[in-house]
Amino acid sequence: MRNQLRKRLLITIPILLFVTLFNFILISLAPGDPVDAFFNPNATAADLEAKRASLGLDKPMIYQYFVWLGNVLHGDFGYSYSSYEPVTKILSYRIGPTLLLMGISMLVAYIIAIPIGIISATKQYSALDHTVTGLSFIGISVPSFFFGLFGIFIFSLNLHWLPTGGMYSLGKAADFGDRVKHLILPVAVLSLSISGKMVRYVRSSMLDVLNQDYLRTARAKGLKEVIVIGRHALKNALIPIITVIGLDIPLLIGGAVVTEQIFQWPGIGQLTIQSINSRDYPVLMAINLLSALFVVASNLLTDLAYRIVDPRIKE
Amino acid sequence: MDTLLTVDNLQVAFNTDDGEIVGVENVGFNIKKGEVLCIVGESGCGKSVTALSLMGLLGKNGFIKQGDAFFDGHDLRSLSSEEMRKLRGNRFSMIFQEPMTSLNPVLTVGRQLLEPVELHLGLKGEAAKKLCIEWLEKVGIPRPEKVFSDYPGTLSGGMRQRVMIAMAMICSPSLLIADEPTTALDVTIQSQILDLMEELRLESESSILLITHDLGVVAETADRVLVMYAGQVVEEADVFELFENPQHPYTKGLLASIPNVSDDFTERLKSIPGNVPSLQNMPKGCRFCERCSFSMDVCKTEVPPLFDVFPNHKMRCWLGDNK
Amino acid sequence: MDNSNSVWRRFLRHKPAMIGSIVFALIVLSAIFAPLLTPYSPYELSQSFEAAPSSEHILGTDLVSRDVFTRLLYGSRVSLLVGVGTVIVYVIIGGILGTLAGYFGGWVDSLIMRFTDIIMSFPFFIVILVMVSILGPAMSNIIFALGVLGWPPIARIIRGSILTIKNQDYIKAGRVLGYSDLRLIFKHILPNIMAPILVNATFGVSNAIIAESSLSFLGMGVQPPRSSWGNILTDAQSMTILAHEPWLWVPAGLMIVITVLSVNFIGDGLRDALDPKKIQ
Ligand SMILES: Nc1ncnc2c1ncn2[C@@H]1O[C@H](COP(=O)(O)OP(=O)(O)OP(=O)(O)O)[C@@H](O)[C@H]1O
Ligand SMILES: [Mg+2]
Repeated sequence: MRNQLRKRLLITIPILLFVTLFNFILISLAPGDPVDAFFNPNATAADLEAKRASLGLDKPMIYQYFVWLGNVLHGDFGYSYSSYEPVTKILSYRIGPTLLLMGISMLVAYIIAIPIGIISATKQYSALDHTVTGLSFIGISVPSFFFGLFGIFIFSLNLHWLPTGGMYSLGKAADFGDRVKHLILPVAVLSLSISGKMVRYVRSSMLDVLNQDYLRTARAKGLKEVIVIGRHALKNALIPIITVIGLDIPLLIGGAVVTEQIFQWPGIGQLTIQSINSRDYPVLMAINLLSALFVVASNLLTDLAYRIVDPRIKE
Repeated sequence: MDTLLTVDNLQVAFNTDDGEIVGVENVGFNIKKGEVLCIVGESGCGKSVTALSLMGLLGKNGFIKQGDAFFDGHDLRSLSSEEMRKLRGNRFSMIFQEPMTSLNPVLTVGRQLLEPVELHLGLKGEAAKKLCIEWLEKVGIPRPEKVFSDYPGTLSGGMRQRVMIAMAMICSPSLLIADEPTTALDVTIQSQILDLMEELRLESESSILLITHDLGVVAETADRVLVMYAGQVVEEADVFELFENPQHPYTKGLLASIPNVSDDFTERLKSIPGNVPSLQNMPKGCRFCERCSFSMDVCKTEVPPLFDVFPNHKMRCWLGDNK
Repeated sequence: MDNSNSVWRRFLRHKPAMIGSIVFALIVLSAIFAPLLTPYSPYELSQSFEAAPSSEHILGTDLVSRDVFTRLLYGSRVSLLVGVGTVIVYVIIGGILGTLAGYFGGWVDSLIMRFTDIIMSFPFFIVILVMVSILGPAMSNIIFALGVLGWPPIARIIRGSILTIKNQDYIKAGRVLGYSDLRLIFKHILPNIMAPILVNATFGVSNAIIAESSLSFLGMGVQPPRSSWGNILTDAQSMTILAHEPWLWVPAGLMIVITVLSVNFIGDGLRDALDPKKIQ
C-alpha cells in the first residue's frame, strides 16, 4: 500500500509538468504580447523592447518555461502584468472567497442530495422518486448563468430580499448576517447543479446495492427493513460516492467562474476572467497550476479514502 | 412423525415489463420434522422461486398468487410481514447458492453473525459474541476469534458458505432451506459442506429443504424427492422409490441412461432431446409433451393432474391415469 | 437482432425520452428551416430598439434593434452544431486512442493511458477559457477546445472493451481460424461499445451546449453579430435589461434549458433501454 501510494505520488509530477507546459505553450501561442496591450501608447519601440527584455519575453519559449518553473519551485510566481503586484499576493486574497463560496455550496448540495438520493432509490418508481429524478434533471440542465440571472431577477430586483452581487455591503465586511445574504443566491445556483449530479449518482449507486445478494441474506435473517437499508445497504452505496466527491473537489477552485462573474464574487473565477481579458499570463499560469494541483491532490485523497473506508481493498 | 411444513397448490407470479408471468404453479409437498426433502430440476424450473416464496423474500415484483403454506401451525400467507420477519432467520432460515456475494463485504463476519443472535435470541455483548465464536468453531472455521473480526473478503468460498450455515443455524431453526448450497464450490468442499449440514441436522433435529442440481447429492442426503419441470412438480416420492422405480418419463430420462449417479445433472439433460419451454409460451397441455417419447393426443391438450401412482408416490403424467 | 427490437421497445416506452426526442426534433427542424420561419435576417436592423414583443416582432427587438425571435432561431444552429460537432471530434479522438491502446497493449497502452490521466487532470473550464481566448473566440475553436479535452471517457470505454474481448474464447478461436485480429475486434467490439458510447455521446452533446452557452455568455464564445443563445443572454448582465426587458433574456435561457433537458432525457432513455443488466 505504501508503495502504491508512493507510485501515485510520483505520477503526479509528470502530470503537473505536462499541464503547466501545455498551458505555457498555449499562452505563448497567443497573438501579440502583454507589452503591446498594456504599455503607454507614447512609448518608443526601444522602450517596448526594454520592457519585453525585463519580462524575459525575448527569450525562447521553452527557456521562459524553465525560468518560470524554477521560480515557482522557489515560491515565486512573478508579478501580475496588469497590477504589478506579486501573483501570490493576488491569489491569496482571491482564494478565500472562492473556497468559502464553493465549500458552502458543496456542503449544502451534499446534505440535500445524499439523503434524497437514498430515499428516492428505496422508493423506486414512486411519485417521490419521479419528482426527485425530474428535479435532478433540471439541476443538471439549467446553466448556472441563467439560474443566477433568474435568481437576481426575482429575489433582488423584484422582491428586494437579497443583494444582486458582491461579497458584502459597503462598510459591513464583518457583518455575519450581511455575508449570509450575499451568499444565498450564488450558493443556491452552485448547489443546484452539484446536487443534481449527486442525487442521480447516489440513487443509481443505491439501486445497484439494493439488487445485491447480501441484502437478501440480511432480510433472510429477519432484520428490520430500517436496518437492512441503514446498515447493510447504506455503507455499500456510499463508498463509490467518494469518487464523485473526489471529482467535485477541484471545483472548489475552478467551478465557480460563471457564478462568480454573475454575482461579482471576488474570487478565483472572476480573477480568471479578468486575467484573460488583460492577458495577465503570470496570474493565469498560477491559477492553472493551482487548479491542476487541486485535481491531482483530490485524486490522491480519493485513493486514500477508499483504502481507509473500503475493506475490500487489501493491502 | 409430525408434519412441519405443508405446501399446497402454490402459485407464484411476477409483475414484469411484459405483464404478469407465473414462475411456478401447482406446487405442493410436505416436510416432516427431521426430514430432508430435496427439490431437483434443471435451471429455471422454479426451485429458488418456490423457496423464496416460502421465506417471504420474493422481492418487490414477486408474490404468491394462490395456494396455501402452513409452517409449524402458522398460516404463512395470513401472517403480517412483521410476524413473518420474526420467524425468518429464527424458526426457519435460508442459505443461498452464491457464497461469494451472499455476505456483506463491508461488515465484519462477527457483525453479520451477531445480528440474528441479538435480534432473535436477545443476547448481548460477551454472551452473544461467545455464542458466535462457538458456532464458527462448530462449522469448522479455523481461528474463529480472528475470523470474527475479519471482513468476508478474506475468506474463501467454502469458508463463506460455512459462515452462512452458522448464520442460518445459530438460532436453531426447525427448518433450514438450502438453495444449491454447494453448486458454486469445488467437489471436495461440496461434500464437506453437505456432511456439515447433515451433522448439524442430526444434532438439532431440524428439517432441511435442499435444492440441488446434483442427483448424487439427492441420493446421499434426501428422504423424499420432488422433481420439478418448467415451474411444476412432475414427480414426488421417497428417495429409494424414485431411484428404483421412476414413473414420469422426464425422471426416467434423467435416471435411465446414466450409469453413474454422481454425474452432473445438467450434462445428463442433454440426453433428452429438445428444450424447456419458456415461461412466456407454455404449451397448453403437458409441459414435457414435446420432448416426451410417450406423448399421446391428450398430452397436447390437457394438463395432467398429479396422480397417486403408488402409495406416497405421485406424478404429473397421463400415463398414470389408468394406474 | 432480437435484442435491438426490445431495446427500441424500451426506449419508446420511456416517456421523458419520447418527449425529449420530439422536442429535440422540433428544435432541429426549426434550426434547419429558420429562414422559412421568420421574415427577418438575424443581422437585419429595424426601426425600434429594445421594443417589447408585438405582432411585428413576437419576442421584441434587442439593443441594436434586431428581431429577437429571429436571433433565437439562428442561435439554435450554433448550439446544435457545437453540441454535435464537439461529440464527433471527441469520439474520433477517443476512438483512435482507445483502439490503439487496447489493441497494442504494452507500452503504447501505458503511454496513452497516462496521457488520458493527464488530460483528465486539466482544470476543464479554466483551460477551455484560456484555449478559446487564445485561439480566438470562433465556433470552430470552441468545438476544437471542447473536443480536445473531452475524449478520455470514450478512449477508456473502447480500450476496456477491446481488452475484455481480446481475452474471450471466440476471439482466440477466430485467431486459430486465421482471421486478422483487427477484423475480429471490429466485428465483435462495435456492437458491444455502441451502447456506452451512444449514452456518453448524448450527454456529451448537452454538456457541450451548456459549455458553449456559458462561454458565449462570458463574451469568450461566439461573438456578435452572430447570435448564440449564450451571447444573447450577455446583455442581461445589465440590471435595467434584467429587470425591465425580460424578452431579451428569458426566451434564450429557456431555449437552452429546453434543449439541454430534452437531450438529457434522450440520454436517460437510451441508458435505460440499453442497460445490459435489463437485457436478458
Ligand atoms: N424477480 C423475478 N421476476 C421475474 N421472473 C423471475 C423472477 N425471479 C425468477 N423469475 C423467473 O422464474 C423462473 C424460475 O426461476 P428460479 O430462479 O426459481 O429457477 P431455479 O430452478 O432456481 O434455477 P437455478 O437452478 O438456475 O437456480 C425463471 O424462469 C425466472 O426467469
Ligand atoms: Mg435457483
